[in-house]
Amino acid sequence: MSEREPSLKGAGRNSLEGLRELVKREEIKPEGANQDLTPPVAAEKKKTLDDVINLIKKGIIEGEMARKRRGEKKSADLALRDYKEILKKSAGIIRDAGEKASIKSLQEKLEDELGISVGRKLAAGIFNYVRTNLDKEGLDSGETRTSGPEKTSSQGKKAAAGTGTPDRVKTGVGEGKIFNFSQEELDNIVAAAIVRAAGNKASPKLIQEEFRKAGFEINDNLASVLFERAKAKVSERPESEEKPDQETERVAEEIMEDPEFKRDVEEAAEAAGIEGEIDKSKLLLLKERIKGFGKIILSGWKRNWKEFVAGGAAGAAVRTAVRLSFGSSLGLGIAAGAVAGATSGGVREYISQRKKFTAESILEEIKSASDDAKRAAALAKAKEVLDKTRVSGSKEDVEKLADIVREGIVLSKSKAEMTGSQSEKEKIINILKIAEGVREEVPKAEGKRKEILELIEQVEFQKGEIDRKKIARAMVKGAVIGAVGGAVGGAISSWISDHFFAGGGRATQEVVSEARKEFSLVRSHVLSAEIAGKAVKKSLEESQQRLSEKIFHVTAEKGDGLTHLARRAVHDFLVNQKSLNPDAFKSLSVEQLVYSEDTLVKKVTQGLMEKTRSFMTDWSKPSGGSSDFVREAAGQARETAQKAVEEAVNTGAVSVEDVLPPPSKGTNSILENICYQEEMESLPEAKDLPEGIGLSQQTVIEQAAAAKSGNKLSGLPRLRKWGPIVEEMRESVPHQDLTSKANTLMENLANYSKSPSGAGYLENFVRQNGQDLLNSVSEKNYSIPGKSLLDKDLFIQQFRGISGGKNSTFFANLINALEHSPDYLRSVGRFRNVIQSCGFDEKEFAGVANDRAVKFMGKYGGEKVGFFARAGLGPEELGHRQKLVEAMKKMMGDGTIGGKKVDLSKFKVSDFVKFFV
Amino acid sequence: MAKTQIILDKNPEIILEELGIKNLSPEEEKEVINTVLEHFNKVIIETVILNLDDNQVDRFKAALERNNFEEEITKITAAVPGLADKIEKAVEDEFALLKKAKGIVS
Repeated sequence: MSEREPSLKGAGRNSLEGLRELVKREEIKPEGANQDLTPPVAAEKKKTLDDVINLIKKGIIEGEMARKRRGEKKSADLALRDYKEILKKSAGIIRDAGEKASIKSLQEKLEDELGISVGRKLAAGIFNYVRTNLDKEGLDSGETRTSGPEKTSSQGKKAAAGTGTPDRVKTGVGEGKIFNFSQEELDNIVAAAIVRAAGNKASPKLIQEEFRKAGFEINDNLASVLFERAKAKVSERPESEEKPDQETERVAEEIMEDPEFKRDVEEAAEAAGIEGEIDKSKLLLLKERIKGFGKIILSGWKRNWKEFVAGGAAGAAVRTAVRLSFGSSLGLGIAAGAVAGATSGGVREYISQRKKFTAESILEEIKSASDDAKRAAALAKAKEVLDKTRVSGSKEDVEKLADIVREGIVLSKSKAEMTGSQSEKEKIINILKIAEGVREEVPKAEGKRKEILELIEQVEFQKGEIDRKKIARAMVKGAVIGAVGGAVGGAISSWISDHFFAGGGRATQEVVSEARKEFSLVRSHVLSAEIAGKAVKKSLEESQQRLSEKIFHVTAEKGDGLTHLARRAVHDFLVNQKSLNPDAFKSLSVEQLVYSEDTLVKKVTQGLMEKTRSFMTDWSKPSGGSSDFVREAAGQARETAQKAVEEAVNTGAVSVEDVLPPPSKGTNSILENICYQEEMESLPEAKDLPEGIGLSQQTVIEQAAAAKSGNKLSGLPRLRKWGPIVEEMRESVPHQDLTSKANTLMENLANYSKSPSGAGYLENFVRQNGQDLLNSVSEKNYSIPGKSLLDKDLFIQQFRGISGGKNSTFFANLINALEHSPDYLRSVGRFRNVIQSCGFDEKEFAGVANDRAVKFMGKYGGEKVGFFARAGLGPEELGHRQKLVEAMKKMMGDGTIGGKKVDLSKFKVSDFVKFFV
Repeated sequence: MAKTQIILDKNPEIILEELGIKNLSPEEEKEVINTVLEHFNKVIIETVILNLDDNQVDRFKAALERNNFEEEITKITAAVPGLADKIEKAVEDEFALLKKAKGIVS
């Protein structure tokens, strides 16, 4: 078959037959019967002709095919008769009208005489074609001048009378090629259609009969030849192609899923049907362009869109239509596409053309504007494109375009509407008004996402100012929470990448990019967790590969792997938001994420800690601050992160458990288990324990382990307990200038070397809070809040740390602090707290009066590790402690202290101070 | 969040400095600040909404009907990747634009 053979696909509803049926069903006629059609027709003459010719040819055959598939028994005669009769009748009508011939009269006559409604475009195509070819293709047979439909062609009659060629009867309306098809090709096409429709019942006889019904006699030989050709042609096609509608329908459905496309169609329908609601000039233009076929297309569109998009390609027509419609209605493109074939290919072409007006290209145009005038013109065009949502491209490009246009308008309006004589207030208020107006005027939503624009309008114009403030604040708060949650892992991994090899951040970007694709449907906080974990892992993996190529000037310390350090860095990041409540982060899920990379993490050096911490600190600066807002955001981040991990673990999305050791005795959660494992790893070896504490080394180890495992967040997290203490101190202690003491403190810190990690923390902490800290523990008027004493051991430990490990200073300050809390031990509740924090059994002290506290402390103090051991005191401190205990015993025993009789009812801590210091 | 933080902190001095505005009486200052904050709130709102997906838009709409919409909105926006940066850029650009416009008419 010729390469120009029209496609047999499609139901042909877009064909002449289809159009006619639509017209009949809808009982509507083409619009614009009274319009002067000359200008647009002339403009479209050439392309329209081609379109119409193809439309007729395809429509005739495909319409017939569709009927066959639907099981309708009508033969090809109607189809064959239609196009010939239309053309012949048209030729007669045009000739009869002479100089007065017009498309409108052609339409009317065709309807009157053939009973068909022909759209303006089709009529124009026929009109122009017939007028052009009236004399050279034998259209003017003379018989066409008669009124009423003709049932047979003159050639057919001749053939029937035996005047045709021996084996082939002329079946065309003229000699030679007709509409780009030879007679033979047409015969083959029709025969194939008949064979395909008849299936097993097809035969040469059937073909002969069908041709006869159409008014064309063919002899047996030709019928046999056509049958064989048709059979061969049909058998060439696989079964799947026997049902082209399915594929077409699938494509159609796919296209229809495109929301932009749907919207365009709806807008086109709307524009065609609702007069008065659009600009008059546009309406006129719109009507002009769609009259004759607009209503037919659009009214049938919603019900029959699948059929509209079925059929062969109509790219050229669509391209033209889209170009023409630029500057008017969006819907024209689709309407034109529909009438020109409305094919799947055509629709795709339409979309493709539409997307040619991309933000990128317009941006380029603006950018390349050589002078202000051109730039202004480009901006105007851009605005128009935005107004009409005739722009596509990346979301970023569209928004960028809108920004540029907005800027251009704001600046030009500001210049035009304002004068230099206005006051400062007037100027800025007016500029803000202009900016507000322009934001409304130039939408930023890509593809005019109606619901988005409506939502913005709803919030911006319907909600009150107060609500808007709250909404904006809540939005930013959420955004920061997301940034905190998502950035922690990424920040760490980015630093790792940067530190270990060039091109850092790539691994993170890759992971994030992939993860976003992969997890686009996953809940976002789980996504964040996944991204963070994977980014860390990827970075570390790549880092590992390069470890051998690098020299690191840092040394690893036992038990201080990257996991630990990274966790610490995360903690630092959060703590360094100095208004944050550190206690709120004790279960920060990001730690778990980092832990999930445990096996890799352990190979990285301690240097990472400092670097990471520096990085995190720097990184946090832009979003730092001390407002409640940040505190709230961080608190929310913790909750979100916690929830994310719980969900991730529960759903298996993050296999934290895979890399964790099995739960150990005394722990009941992953986090506790992590802490427990860490603490166990960092426990001192027996040989490292201090001598002379009066206990076996094993006992100390056991006690220490028990104490640590009993504290869910020992080690690092315990330090966080400084937070509430300091906060309370701030509230209760008037600020005084203690700079010199702070300096001393810092010097001491610099010398503090027993616990590098602890020093690191303290350093950071004290840098932020040192003055307050010193202030709080040194001022005479400071009263330790009861609840803070729950952390007394920690308090002491840290106090010792900041005092430079000097025992005398430590004890002096401890007693000094106690001295100024003379009523402290008089409270049973507080006493019990001390007992608990010292590691004693609370039951033993049930109901103990306050004056017995010292006695019990003396009784138990020398026999158990408890308080002092947990405070990390060495032999020297314990020596002091022994003295203290002895003194207390003596006091309780004989009522003396320092050889002097003591009235226990009037006992004060200061008595000890006098004795002891 | 440097520029956004300025808006959130509502610090008149810094806001006016950012916009290059001087010599306002206290009453004028109050009026200008209120207008600026309202404008920027809209900038933030638009930026956020434009970055919501369909599901988030639906949730956002539903949230607006509630009395305690803030919590839900916070949850929604916490789930938008990179939103903080986008807000910051939008606010930053708007500051620059206003300042530029003011420079033209001064």
